[in-house]
Amino acid sequence: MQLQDRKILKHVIIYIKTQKRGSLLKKKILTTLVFISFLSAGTIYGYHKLNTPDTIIEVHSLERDFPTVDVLYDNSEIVVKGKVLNEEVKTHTFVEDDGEQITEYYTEREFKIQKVYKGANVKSGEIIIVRSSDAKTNTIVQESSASISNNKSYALFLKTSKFPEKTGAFTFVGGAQGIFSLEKKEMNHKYKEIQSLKKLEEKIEKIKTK
Amino acid sequence: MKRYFYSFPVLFGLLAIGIFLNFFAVTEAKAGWNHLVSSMRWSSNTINYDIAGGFNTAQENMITDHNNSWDRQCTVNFDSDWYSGNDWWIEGIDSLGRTTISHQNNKIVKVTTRIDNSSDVSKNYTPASDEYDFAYIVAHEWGHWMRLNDDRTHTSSLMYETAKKGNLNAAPRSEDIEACNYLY
Repeated sequence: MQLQDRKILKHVIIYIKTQKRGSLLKKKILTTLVFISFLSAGTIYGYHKLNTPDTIIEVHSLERDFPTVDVLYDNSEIVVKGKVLNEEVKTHTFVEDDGEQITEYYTEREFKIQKVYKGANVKSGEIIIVRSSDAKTNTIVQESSASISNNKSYALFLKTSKFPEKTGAFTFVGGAQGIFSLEKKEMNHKYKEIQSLKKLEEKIEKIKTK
Repeated sequence: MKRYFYSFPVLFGLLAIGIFLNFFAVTEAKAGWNHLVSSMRWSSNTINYDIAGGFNTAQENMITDHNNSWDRQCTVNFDSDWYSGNDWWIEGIDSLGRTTISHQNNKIVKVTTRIDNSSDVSKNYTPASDEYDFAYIVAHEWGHWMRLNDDRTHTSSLMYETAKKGNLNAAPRSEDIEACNYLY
């Protein structure tokens, strides 16, 4: 074998070895990805199963339609800005006419008012109770589309709640229509033209001077 | 043997299975809170319900009529039975209608619907222009019994989350029927 041929053969051997090493590396990466994908699927599924409560209750409410913020404002007893301080899940038990005992779950939250836009009976600095149909305990999760969260700020359009009992607590006018989050870009899913607190306050001022 | 299992086609196949399992796990975790239909279906196609009380005769007839209207479109049927435990009644509530569906161990155990007793909810077949249409409320709530969710997108859908005043079309729309038949 000539020197030239030997050099070519040497290059070919190096090339094959490099290819084999590359292929092995790719297989190792793929094996790791397979392992991660199985592990993450197992973790998500296991976490979900472990955290699923005994009872899940869906609450679906058909709300009165308030096509504009003007109509929403007119139908509200109070309109306030403030922050949710804490929350407590409550129950109300009653017996149906067929003798069956029913327990209703709901959440009452303390809401500290920072500004009053409508309502003569509430003042800035006052704490009011806001009721919603969602509830979470160790044994039940009750889901509702209209809810607010602890330590978050909102502008709320409220009325006196009569369900499950009248205690002076407030609830949202028109469900989720009456909730404007001050911490989300989309403040309200329905009135998309209101994109900031400033715009909402301008709108309310306009309604007041009508 | 090792060479066979440690080949690219097998590894890619396993990766595809892993990705599918992730998708399945996320879908399971999100169960129930989808856009239009709930993942929790009735385990039987015949369910009993009971009109518990507080309604006038016209209102009771509207509840039955709109059940029949859904029954004709979907494969799940609801039959009136005094002892069903799945009840309709009238009460002072904060919305027009309120349907509560309880699940235990992935099974629906109880459904109740309350209709608001406020004076702005009609008592007759034809509502006044300043009243909310009782028939429409009932048809919407039956949609929840069929396991459809509230719809925030399609304003013309019977399952749209809010109701206007006046006489409304209480018949299930094509998308409602499609969603129902997709479920069962």
